[in-house]
Order: sequence, then structure tokens, then C-alpha cells
Amino acid sequence: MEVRLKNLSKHFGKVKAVNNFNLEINDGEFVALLGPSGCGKTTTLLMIAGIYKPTAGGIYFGDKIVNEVLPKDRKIGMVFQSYALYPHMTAFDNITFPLKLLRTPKEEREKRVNEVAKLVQIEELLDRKPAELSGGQQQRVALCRALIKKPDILLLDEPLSNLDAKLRTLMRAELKRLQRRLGITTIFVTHDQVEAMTMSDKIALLQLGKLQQYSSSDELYNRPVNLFVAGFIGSPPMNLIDVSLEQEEGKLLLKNEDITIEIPSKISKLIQSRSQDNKIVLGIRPENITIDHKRGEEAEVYVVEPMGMQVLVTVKLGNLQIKVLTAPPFTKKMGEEVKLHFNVNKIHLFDKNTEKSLLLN
Amino acid sequence: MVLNKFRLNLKSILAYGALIAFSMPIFLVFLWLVITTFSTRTEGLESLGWTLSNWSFLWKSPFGPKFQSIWIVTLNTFILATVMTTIVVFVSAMSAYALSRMKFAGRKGFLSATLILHAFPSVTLLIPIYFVLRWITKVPIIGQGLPLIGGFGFNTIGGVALVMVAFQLPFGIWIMKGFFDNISWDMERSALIDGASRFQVWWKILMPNIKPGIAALSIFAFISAWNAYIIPFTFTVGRAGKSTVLSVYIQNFMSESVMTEWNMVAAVGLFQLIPVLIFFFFTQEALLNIYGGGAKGGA
Ligand SMILES: Nc1ncnc2c1ncn2[C@@H]1O[C@H](COP(=O)(O)OP(=O)(O)OP(=O)(O)O)[C@@H](O)[C@H]1O
Ligand SMILES: [Mg+2]
Repeated sequence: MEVRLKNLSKHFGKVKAVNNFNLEINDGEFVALLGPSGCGKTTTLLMIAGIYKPTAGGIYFGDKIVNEVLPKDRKIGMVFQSYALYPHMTAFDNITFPLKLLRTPKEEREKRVNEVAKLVQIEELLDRKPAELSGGQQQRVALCRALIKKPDILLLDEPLSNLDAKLRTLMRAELKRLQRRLGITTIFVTHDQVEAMTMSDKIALLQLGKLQQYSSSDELYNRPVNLFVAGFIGSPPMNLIDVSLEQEEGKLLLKNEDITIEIPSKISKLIQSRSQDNKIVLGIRPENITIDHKRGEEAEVYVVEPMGMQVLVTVKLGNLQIKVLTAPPFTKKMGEEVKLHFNVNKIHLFDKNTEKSLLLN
Repeated sequence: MVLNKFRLNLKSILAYGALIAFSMPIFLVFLWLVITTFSTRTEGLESLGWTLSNWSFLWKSPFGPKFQSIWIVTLNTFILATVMTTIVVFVSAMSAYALSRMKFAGRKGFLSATLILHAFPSVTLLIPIYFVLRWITKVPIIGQGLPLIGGFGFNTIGGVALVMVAFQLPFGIWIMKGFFDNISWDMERSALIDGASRFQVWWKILMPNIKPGIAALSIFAFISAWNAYIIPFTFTVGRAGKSTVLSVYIQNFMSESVMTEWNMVAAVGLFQLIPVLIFFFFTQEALLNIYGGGAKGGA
């Protein structure tokens, strides 16, 4: 089932929890709503579920507007962040609760429970109450309850955030496989970018109730449309440096008092046509800076953090602190001198005032 | 180790000592009551002659045949307490749900009004209520023509129950609202998505999760109905009337013309206490549960 949000808004008094949100989700797609805490992810999901009424705008399932359709008639399944299992019922009763309300015959109910229970391997746990289940098991019960009605759309509100790191990685892969196998259109809320990037086809990145960028994770990482996206996506985060465009001895330079980077004329033309007052933010990811190159900017090692596969080095360049990812072994010590080379083909440029990308349309 | 154990013992001895010292007066009073009911006369805790005659009210009306038997009176009291408890619990639970979960005009005002009503001295309302009940009496069937409870008008058990429900509701609503407030919204939303109606959510999901609250309110309501005196006394007619309850029945012993038989009053009082004790015995676990964290699990 396709889902479309058109100019969707939800205000709580003065708080604009969701503000003019537009989104198109194709049938069978796995879309993540990503953003920092309080950006309106849950509110959006609850509007799609029919729990909250939108202040303005429309929600479409297929061609049909569903603003006035009751939650129970929307053919959705939802897993809450808290799982929201019913404590007084066994796992079996929890899962069959939606079917019971539909007055499905008992044999049919049992058959369906066994089907979904097998899907997530909780067959032996069905006669336990939620209090007797671990967090991961509760989560799977909640997932079964969401799936048993064979919904057209699956809504997941941070279903992995209560699990420990190992189980989270495991369930991430399991959930993704399950979604592919069942082919249910799925909307997945998370504030964890790794979760969003690894699991979903497309990511909608939100901030303060507004959609910032809606694209594949690859696109989000390599072509951020504004400063917020650039700073949010990526860990360790992108280096963001205030610079201005200058011309010296026929060279085009991005510079401030600590740093100077030469850029090709193609980029400078874009800047000149788009930037109003020559206040520019240069963005470059830690992996696009090379260290210990023979020539380049001189800098001082500030701190070294080995991470196994890579080493994260923070260097000081005048007053600037810059993070660089490099392959081990890294032998330089704190306080020693290194040279930095910036890969000019991988830089991002943003207008300081509008925060929009200067390189993308 | 040894020292540790000793200190622990000393601590518990002190604790028990203090508890016993404080409960002693209450215990002695009860002991005195029990001894009195089986004695012709007492001097302090000492019986001056054992007898069962104080309990003769169980098989023979002490005031003559035109008075109700104690068993009918007990049944009346039981019906009154049950009817009142049932209505209080259901109405409180429904209005508390609305107050806890729904937004509507006047919600805040209603909440503070219930608090004020709870503190309102009920005695001041007896006369207006009398007129209301007289009016209800005139309504066909509901007024006076119902089996068991008589109806909801004046001089009926249902009428008395109705008045007591009104006085009990503010308290009940507050207790229940607290319990509903503690249940996560997500559970309710989840049930709505699962296909439940608002009423089904209330009945199938929320009510089972506030069982300790229901138990607590039931016990409070039942006991206050069982022991109520002013309202049954005011709104039923005649001490021998067919709607008499136990507390009013005891009043029959106190008349100007005959010496009050205190030992028999004590016996009837003890008799009135027994069901409460039994009730407590069966519900204490639920009562204790209130402090044990209400709804378990569900993260
Ligand atoms: N029922 C409500 N009444 C008033 N304000 C609300 C309500 N629900 C949410 N908000 C506000 O709307 C904003 C968005 O909330 P929402 O729960 O959608 O955030 P979220 O993105 O899900 O955050 P998190 O990652 O912490 O769950 C927040 O500022 C929140 O305070
Ligand atoms: Mg949320």
C-alpha cells in the first residue's frame, strides 16, 4: 500500500510538533523517519495510525484519504517503543487480541498465531505473561501482535531502542529480512542513524517538525542538502568550518585565518552565483582528509582514538579542531606535527545564512 | 557474624515491642468487647458470670415479634452494601476514565468540584435529599416497586444506597483517576489500533490492569455502607421497618422506658463486625497489592 503525506501538520497549542510534512512512500518500501529527540517522529506515526487527528493536511493510503478513518479500519499494525503489551494477558492472548475483537474462530486464531510465532521464533513463549519475558522477547510478541491482522502498513516506533547493543544488531537484520519477505510497506521511527541507514530503503530526516531531506541513505550521506543533514548524518560527524571565497595570484581559495584550500573554478562559479555575502561553511568528512601527506596544511595532533578498524585523530589547526579518520597503524603522538591533505572532490559547501547546500540544486 | 545477628535481633525486638505497645490498647478494647458479649456483667476484663443469652437475638427478636429478624436486617445491610459498592465502583471507574483520558470543557472545574464535594459535610444536605427521595418515590416502579432493594425512593434500600453512592463518588473518582493516570497511553493506543472500541479498551484493557484500585475502592465502599448510620436512619421509616439495616437496628436497644442492655448491644455490634472481618480476610492481598506497584510488566 502506498502512503502519502500531504502538507501534514500537527500543533499542540503553540508547539508545532509536525510542520507541513510531505512524504511519498511506495508499496512495499521500508522507510525510516530519522531525527533527534522531540522532532515529531512519534507524532507523525500516531497520525498515520489515526490516533492523532492532523491539524492540517492529508494522509493518503493509495488514492484514498484516510484522515477520518478510525485506527481499527486503517489496516495497520503498530509496535510501540514501550511495546505496550497487555500485562494481564499471556503472550498468546496478546497476539490474538486483534483477532478476538474480529470474532475470528478459535482454530483460525491458533493457526495464525503459530504462523507469526514461527516467523520470529517465539513458539515456546506463548503461555507466558509479559512480565515473564525479556525485553527482546516482549518486542517479538509485540511484533507478532502487529502482524497477525496481516496489515497493509506496519508502523514501528523505535522498536529496537530498549534492547542491548548485541540484540539490537541481531534484530536489525531480522526485522529487515522479515520486512523483505512479507513485503509490507513499513515506516520505522528511530533516532539512531545507523539503524536508519542499515535497514531502510529511504530515510526521511526530520528536525523540529520539518522534513530536511528524503532520500536513500547513500544520497543522504554523500549529498546532504543542508547544514543540519550534513552535521546529523555520519559518525564521527563531518567537520564544519567557516570560510570565505578569495582570489589570490590567480588561485581560487576557500580560507579563514587558520586554513586555506584551493578549489577548481567550477566550484567557485557555483559559489559566486549562489552565495550572497561570501559567508560559507565548508564541510568535509573525517575520511576525506588524509594525514601525514608530504605536502599540505600543517597541524598538531590533539588526541588519538583507535577504533579497531580505523583510528580517529583529532588535530589542531590554529584555533580549529578537525577530526580525521585514518588507517592504522598511526604512530604520531599527542603534540607532534602532521600534514593534512583535503580531498577537494569530496567537500560540501553551505551558505552560512540560509544553511542550504551551495553545490546541489 | 554473631554480633551482627544479635544486633539484627535486638532491632526486630525493639520494632515488635513498639508495635505491640501501640496496638495493645486497641486489642484490649476488642478483647473487652468479646468478653462482654458472653458475660452477664463484667468488671474490667473480668467476667462476673458467663452466658449465651446476649446472643439470643440470633434466634429470637429481643423487641417482640413485630420487629424484623436479625437475619432479614443483615440481608438488608448486605444488599445495601453490595448495591452501593457496585454502583460506586462502576460509576467511579467510568468517570475517572473520562477525567483521566479525555479532554472536554469543564474538566478542571469538575475535578476541583469533586474534591470540594468530598469535603462537604453530608449532614447539611439531609433535608433537601429527603425531598428528592420523596419525589423519586412517586416515579412508577423505580420509586417503590423493585424486588430486593425496594426501589430508589424514600424508605427503600435502593434509595439509601443511591444517597450513599452520591456521597461516596467524589472519593471513588479520585482514587480511580489516580490508577488510570498510571497506565501508559501506549497500551490504550495499541488496543485502539488492534480494533477495540473506546468502551472495549476501558473494559478489556484498562479495568483488568487497575484491579488493585477496584479492590481498594470496593472495600472502602462496602465497609462504609455496612457501617453507615445517619443516612439509613434518616431515609428509612420506623425502627422495625422492612428496610432497616444493622446500625439502625442497634438503636432499638436505646429507648427511654427500658434500661439499655449494653451486653446485648455489644453482641449485636460484634455480630455486625464479623462480615467486615471476613471480607477483609479475603481482600487483604488485593489491598496490599496497591503498594506493590499496581500493574506489573509491560515495560
Ligand atoms: N500530546 C502532546 N501534547 C503536547 N505536546 C506534545 C504532545 N506529544 C508530543 N508533543 C510535543 O511535540 C514534539 C514532538 O514530539 P514527538 O513525540 O513526536 O517526538 P519524537 O520525535 O517522537 O521524539 P523521541 O525521539 O524523543 O520519541 C515535542 O516537542 C513534544 O514535546
Ligand atoms: Mg518518539
